[in-house]
Amino acid sequence: MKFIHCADLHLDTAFKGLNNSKSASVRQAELRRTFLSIVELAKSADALLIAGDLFDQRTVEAETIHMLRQAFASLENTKVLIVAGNHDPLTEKSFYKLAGFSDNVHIFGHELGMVTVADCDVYGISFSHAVQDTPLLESFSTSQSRPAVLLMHGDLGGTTYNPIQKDAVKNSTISYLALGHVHNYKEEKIGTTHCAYPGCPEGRGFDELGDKGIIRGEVTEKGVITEFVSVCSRRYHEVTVDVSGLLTHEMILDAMRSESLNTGDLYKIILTGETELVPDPDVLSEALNECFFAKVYDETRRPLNLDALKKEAGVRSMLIEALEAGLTGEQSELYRKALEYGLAALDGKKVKSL
Amino acid sequence: MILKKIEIEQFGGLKNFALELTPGLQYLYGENEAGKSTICAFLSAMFYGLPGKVRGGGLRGDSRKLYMPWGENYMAGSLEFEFEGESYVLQRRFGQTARGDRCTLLLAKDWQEVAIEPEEIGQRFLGLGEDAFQKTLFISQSGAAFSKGKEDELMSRLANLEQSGDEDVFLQKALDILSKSSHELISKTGRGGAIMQLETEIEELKSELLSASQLHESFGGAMGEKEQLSAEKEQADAELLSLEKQRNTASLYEQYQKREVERNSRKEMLRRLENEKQALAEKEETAQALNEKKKDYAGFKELSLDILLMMAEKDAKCSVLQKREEERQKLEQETEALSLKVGEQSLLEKSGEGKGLMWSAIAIVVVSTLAGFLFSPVFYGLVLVAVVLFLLYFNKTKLIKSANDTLKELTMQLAEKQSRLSEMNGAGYSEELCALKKEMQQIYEKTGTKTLQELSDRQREAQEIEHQAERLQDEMDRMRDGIHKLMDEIISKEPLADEPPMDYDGPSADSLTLQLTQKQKAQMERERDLAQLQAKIEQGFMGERSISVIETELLDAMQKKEELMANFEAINLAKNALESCHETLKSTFAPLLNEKSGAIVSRLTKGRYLEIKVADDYSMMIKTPKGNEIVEADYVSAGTCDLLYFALRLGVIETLYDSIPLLVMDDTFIQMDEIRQEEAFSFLADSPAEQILYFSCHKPPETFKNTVNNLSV
Repeated sequence: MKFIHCADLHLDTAFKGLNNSKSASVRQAELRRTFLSIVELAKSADALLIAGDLFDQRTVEAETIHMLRQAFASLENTKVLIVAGNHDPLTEKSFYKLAGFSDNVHIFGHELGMVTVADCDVYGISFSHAVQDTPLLESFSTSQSRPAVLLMHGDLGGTTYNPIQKDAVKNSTISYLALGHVHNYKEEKIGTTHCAYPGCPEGRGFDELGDKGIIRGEVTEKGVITEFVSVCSRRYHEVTVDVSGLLTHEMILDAMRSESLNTGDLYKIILTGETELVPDPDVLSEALNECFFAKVYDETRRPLNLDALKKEAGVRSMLIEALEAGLTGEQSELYRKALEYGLAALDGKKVKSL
Repeated sequence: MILKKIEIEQFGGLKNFALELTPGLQYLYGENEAGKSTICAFLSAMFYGLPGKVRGGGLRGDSRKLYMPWGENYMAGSLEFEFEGESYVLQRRFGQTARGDRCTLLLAKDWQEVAIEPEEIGQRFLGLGEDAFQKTLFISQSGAAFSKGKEDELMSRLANLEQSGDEDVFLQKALDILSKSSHELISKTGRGGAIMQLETEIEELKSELLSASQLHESFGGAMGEKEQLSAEKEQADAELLSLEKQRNTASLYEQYQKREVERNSRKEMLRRLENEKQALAEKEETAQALNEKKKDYAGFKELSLDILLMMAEKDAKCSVLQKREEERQKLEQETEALSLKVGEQSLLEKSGEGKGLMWSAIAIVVVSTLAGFLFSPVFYGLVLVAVVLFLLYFNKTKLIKSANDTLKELTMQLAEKQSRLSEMNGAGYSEELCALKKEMQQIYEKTGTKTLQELSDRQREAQEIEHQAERLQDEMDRMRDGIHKLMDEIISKEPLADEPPMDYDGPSADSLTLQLTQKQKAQMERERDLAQLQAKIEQGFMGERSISVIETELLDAMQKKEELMANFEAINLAKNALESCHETLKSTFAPLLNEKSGAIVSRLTKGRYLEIKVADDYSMMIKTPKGNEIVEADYVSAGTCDLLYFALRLGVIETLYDSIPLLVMDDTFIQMDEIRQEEAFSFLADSPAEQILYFSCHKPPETFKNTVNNLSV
């Protein structure tokens, strides 16, 4: 059985960290396009395996439901096999039930079900609730005549969201365990079982960095072959730029640009180091308009020669003494900032980073 | 520093004014309007300049305007003073704005200009800034009391007293900056500020999210509803189909029934036609028989209807003629008889007895009886004749008997009779009678009757038959008409072919149609609802922002708020730290200040008030002389209050400086009683101040006899 295995599309959910809703709307549209490109890939496969969290039941929009219906219907020769995850649990009001998908779509229920596709038995079971802290399946037994695939949303070796025991996998006769839930691509062989998370096909925030895609593969009696296929339209990056000693915004911009930014991607740029200049992250983000999205975070510090200041008498040294203790504690950042603000105020300077 | 000379070219009300001064305490006496306050202001302006235009300050707030002489556009003057063994001449000129200001500092000895920034003059020669000057060395007419300002030089100086740090570090200003920054994030009222604005934004986003979620819920609901409605519609479609089928069956059956009725009615008509025809045939038979019968009465046909009348007439005529005949015959007989009688008479005479008459009577009886029996009872009438004849016979006999007597008469009678007879015979009755009888006989023969009665009966019968025939004819005509009509009717309608019988037991097509219409209407409504729902779903609740977009914004706003909160916390942390520094500093200089000020108060009040405590906003608490009550300085009399602030000023000066360069006082002790005043002046005289300028509008006390400078303008 040739298959395309994807998961965690999270259609119509918020994109974190995009501070303008326009970019968020663009990303929503791109996510839909990415989904359609997955469907396009699936046309040459026997089955499209969707391992949960296709959308968020809470927020999915009509347009998306229509799109899913049309896209699935276009897969004339491909079976679409879906299990529901914690974000799109198969409840009474689930859009899986309401959408009225074409006949080639099979949505696994709350009990373990099985569909045979191209000489391969595909098993699957859906989430019925958003919370599932006990395993959906305690053990996986299959009829041994055909190679078996188990499609499930869950946490391999985890504790919440359908925890899947590695031992149970080890003792099973499943050839391919098609998983969803973890947003990073991961493949692992447990016993004879090939376990895989394709990750989310499109990053949705700066906690989902790098290349994103799906798994294309084939399950035969001889075994399982898989490959990761990148399908994402943009990548999220987090870049740290040391701007120590740079005294103008232009210099900082040059320093950022020297990081060879890919204009189509999304960047979170963290400025570090010590400089007298208090960088304005908004100005810098705006200036970096050649990128699809860039947001600059200022984590720079003013050079503070605390020891020298402390030697001088007066209010400054008193202030340093008052705040010094906090600089090594848990809230060091807060104390550091307070010290910076306090010293600036004593110099008659306003708090700049507001 | 010792001020040696004040020269005013023009400043306020003073013009070309000069005042020579000596070291130590100087009592400067002048009446009201003499220009004491103007001189004080001039001194301040010479050391610290005049501020630029202050917006909204009015005349009092704008000292340039306040001291600009009437009709002039500048103020100017000079000071001559000695500082650290060197004499200086300070010249200043003030325009209407700060741009027109000029300031020159010259060495008195060679009038060489000393390079100095005008704003540094006060600091350099008096050792303190304007703020501190106004709060300490310069006690204006408004009183000794003073309060804390933003850039409170004095407090900063006090704060840095024990340190050797920057003197331009303004703790209060730093605190104000931090407060302002903090309030930019969360305003004093707790309602404004960037964080609160974000908070509002977050609340708005949350409520938008809620409404969007509800809408989404309703979207789910709409999907569900549509699903249910679709199922209902499908079921209703099936129902409609079966109902329509049933309706068609019912309709077909009803048509079949109609045809069946038609067929039956045709059958009935045919049957009726047959019956009619049968009846007609019967009637025709009857008519045939009647025609046969009519032949028997054919004779009547040629006869007129009044034949009976004619016959009766003829019969009557016949009877008359008969009677006449009989009369004639009788006459004949009578003639004969008479002739016989005559003959008899004559015979009788010769014996004739009239036996012939008797025989004729008998003969007539026989004949008449026979004829009456055979032909008609009429003939029985002839018996009468016979009777008559008998009577005649008897008469004759009698006559004969008397004939003899009457032969002659008889012969005469006979002759008469004979003549009458011949007359009658000549009239021809018998022939007429004969002809009539023959005529009648012909009619009788023709009609097959014999008598008039018979004829009458037969004629009636003939008429009866004729009527019967006519009626029958009418009847038959009617029947034929009926038959024709029936046939026309039958022919006019196409005969319906026979068909196999149909069976149906259910509601009528009409009631089914009604049901169908109602259900179709319900179905249409359902379809409309469905279309609306579909539209609602298709639109996906346009106009509303999608939940994900709202959530994205919400996440951002929350993150931003978190960042700002971190800043807010840091600012407050810095502020708190600075405040604690302030407290620490205060705790170092406050006791000193309290001690020094307390000593001055004690001396000036002759031990009446011993202790004062000064707060960091320069408000003072004092212990009342009688008990241990502690009150604010503002609660004691105005004179005492002035004294307290004077003590505080001196206390501060003594705390801050080793020596007092200059003290300018504008009637500071005016509210004190003489004893206190005296003590105050004595205190001033003992003070380490190099020069004290005390301006007053009151005559000086005895102690100042030598140091009084009368001011005259």
